[in-house]
Amino acid sequence: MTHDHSYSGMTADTSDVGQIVNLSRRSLLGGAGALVLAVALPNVAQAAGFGADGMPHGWQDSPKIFVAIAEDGAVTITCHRSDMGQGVRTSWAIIIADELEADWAKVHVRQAEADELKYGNQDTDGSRSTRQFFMHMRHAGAAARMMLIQAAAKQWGVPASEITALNSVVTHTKSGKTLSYGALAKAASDLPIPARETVALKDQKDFRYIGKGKIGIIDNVPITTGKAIYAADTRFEGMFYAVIARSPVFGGTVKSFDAAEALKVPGVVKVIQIAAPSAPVMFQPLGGIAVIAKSTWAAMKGREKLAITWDDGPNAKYDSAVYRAELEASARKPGKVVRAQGDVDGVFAKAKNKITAEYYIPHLVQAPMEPMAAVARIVDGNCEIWTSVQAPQAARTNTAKALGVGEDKVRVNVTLLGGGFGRKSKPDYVVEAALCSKVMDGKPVKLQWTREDDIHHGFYHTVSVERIEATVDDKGMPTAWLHRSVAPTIGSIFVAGAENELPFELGMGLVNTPFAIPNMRMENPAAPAHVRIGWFRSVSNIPHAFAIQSFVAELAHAAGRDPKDYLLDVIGPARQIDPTSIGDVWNHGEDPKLYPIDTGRLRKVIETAADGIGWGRKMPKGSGLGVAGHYSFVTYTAVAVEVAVDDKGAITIPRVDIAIDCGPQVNPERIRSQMEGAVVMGMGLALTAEITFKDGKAQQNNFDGYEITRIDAAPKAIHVHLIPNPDYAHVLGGVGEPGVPPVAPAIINAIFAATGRRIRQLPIRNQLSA
Amino acid sequence: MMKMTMPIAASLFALFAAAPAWASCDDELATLDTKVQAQATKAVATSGGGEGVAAKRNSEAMASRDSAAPVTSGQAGPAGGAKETQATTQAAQAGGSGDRVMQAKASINEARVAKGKGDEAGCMAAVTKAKGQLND
Repeated sequence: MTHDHSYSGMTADTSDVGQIVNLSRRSLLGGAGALVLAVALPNVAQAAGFGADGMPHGWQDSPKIFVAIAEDGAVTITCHRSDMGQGVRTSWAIIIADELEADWAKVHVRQAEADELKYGNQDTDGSRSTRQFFMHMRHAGAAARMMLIQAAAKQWGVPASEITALNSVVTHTKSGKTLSYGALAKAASDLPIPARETVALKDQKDFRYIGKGKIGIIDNVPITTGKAIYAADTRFEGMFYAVIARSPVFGGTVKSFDAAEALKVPGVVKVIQIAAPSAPVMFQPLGGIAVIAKSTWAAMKGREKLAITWDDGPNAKYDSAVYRAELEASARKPGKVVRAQGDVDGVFAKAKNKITAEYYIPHLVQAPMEPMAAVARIVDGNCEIWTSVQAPQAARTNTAKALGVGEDKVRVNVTLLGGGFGRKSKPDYVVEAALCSKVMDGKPVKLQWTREDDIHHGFYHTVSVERIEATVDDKGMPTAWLHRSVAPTIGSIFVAGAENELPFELGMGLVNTPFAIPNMRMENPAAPAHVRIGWFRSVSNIPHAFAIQSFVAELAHAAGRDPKDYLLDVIGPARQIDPTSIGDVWNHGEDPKLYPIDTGRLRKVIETAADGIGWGRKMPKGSGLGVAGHYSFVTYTAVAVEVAVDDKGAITIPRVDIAIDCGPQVNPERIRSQMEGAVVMGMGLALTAEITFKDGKAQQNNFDGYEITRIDAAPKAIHVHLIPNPDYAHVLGGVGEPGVPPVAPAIINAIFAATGRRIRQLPIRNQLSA
Repeated sequence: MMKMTMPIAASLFALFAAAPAWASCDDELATLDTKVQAQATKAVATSGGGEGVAAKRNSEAMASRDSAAPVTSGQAGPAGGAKETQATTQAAQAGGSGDRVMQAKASINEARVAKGKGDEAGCMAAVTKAKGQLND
């Protein structure tokens, strides 16, 4: 597999909306394909839709899936979503190839460039790439198969109904004659596209790739042999390298600088100032002083020699310890009511037994193993970029704006991503690269972030205080529940001064808490932001799940109940809840009728994870089991953890069981790997990861201070339980993010079982030894 | 017959939709329930499913407050263009991306609690608050 950056020059044809469009007559992908198909969808501008339909550029901006079949039989599938390890390039190929009846050995994947008019929305976020395009991709593959069969029928003069397709070969069942897809591709491309309603999808019993779990990721060999191309691997003859000194405080600016010593560093060729962003910051570069050199090393050494005087700006006194106290104070006062049912105040007023707890979750940084990088060059006024980015179109739009050119003058090529976790949805680094190339008269420049840059200048995961109060009845069951969530919002990067969580943040496990409690109120007091807040894998589900699942366990303990049984009782019996009926006005953008909250499925994953780990077994002294479940990205996950705590407070995690019900499964092996990765990432934020600020500056520098889970601390065993959901007519759920939220509370609950100590502040670090 | 039926139906609808001054709090709540549910569903549909687009649309739609027009900064975000502006306008019209819908639902609950206690005035006060939150 190679990255094909060839540009076909095709444009979206809006007159073909709602049909599968034959683009073969207009152009061929890289000149290799004889049959090229695109799925075009109706225009959302006419009516708001759910899911992918509601994304930018309306229906015709929904993804268009291209299939190219060359005369040698090679099947090239264009993937317009970014692959950061989640395997979307493989999953999409699996879907199309299955419906196409393609020989997997002949399948190739081409990565799309940024072009939403052509491909539809390209943001790889929200755990939705596969769930929102499953049916469209099936249609594209099936339509191609039908056209190939029709071409053979025409050539042989037989009814299409007498022809079957398998492994890139069509067979006339009566005569036994065969033709390869490659031999038929040209003739098939001359045929009309079957109308969408006539496209015959395979019966799911005939699936050969979908859901079988027998296909490794399509990029396995290049990744494991070092041949895969990431942003930092991009090289050009005569390329320059750049790093940037940015204000150590968000909102700070350059008062003055002296580049004389930097320019003396061998290899340094230019030092320039990049302007500070205007409000709101969105995805603009932070500004600062860029050092451009003949090597990354020279650029870094030159940066060290810069003499810069900073104006630290309005966040100069930001101190995360002080801020925590402010959040706690806010959490103890009424805030904006975002969900209310029943009479919480009335019950509280009469209550005999009230339990209250506060939980703290610090800032985090995504810290993808590949720091941000982008290569840009400008030739004849056209800027071309190679980068690892989750939002190619935003990279294109922001670059065009920064350069003052039209988007048609900017091409963004997407490489593989060495992790993203939401950070690479914000393409400030791409714009920086383009600005550096511009001052170098368009010569190629690689803009490289270091790990320290990443940790010091992030779009940080929000910091949060979650306060929950509940009254309980004589049996210890909650009768009223008040949850206040206080956290600076991602909205602050889009609207300056925004201080309340957005509906989509509140819909991540706060307002849609599916508990059978008659009286519930959720509040969101204001919280000003002092750093850039951005989304981090699973976003606000992290603090909400941590607090709620910890608190339920605390209530269970107070009631003298088994925490798993108690959690199931709080969730209540299996039922389906319309999310809008409980105040969730996001629902991950999905149709509430198709995607109700199903407490039966939530119960099932909790029971499965608990059964997996052997819930109820007698544990040795210092060991314990904990469990937590959560609904996010229209998927149900639960985690059961076994921990051991020694007499010095050191924690080890011998075993984790994670159960997921994401609906029908396309690529089970990728789901397993995503769950395993989520466990390891969730462990990191539970045990060690934290960004703190003093005088506005992040106090951590690299992985010595910002600790993520290391291999020797990883669980000895992670058991992933995939809940079977074999009906592919059912809607799919997300996979990339839902594994993370229940990990931390399950660990905390297990520690309580092991030690009797309740942790309410993340990360745990040395709290058990203190 | 058709010519007669349609105006009558329209008038009846207008009567209920307008919630006249003599309407009881129960009547008001019934009308509000329908409206808030429709707004909630519209908010879901116009939010965008991805985190980037949802964040930008939510932010700009919420900031619109008392105006149906979204607040736009002129900065390039995760999505742009005329169609995205249109989508954000639709989100703004859906109670500020549902922000005010959530608050209105809470106010409706407050009204029901008051009603349950026989407090008609309290019920109507909460209804008025809900209407204000929905710009009704």
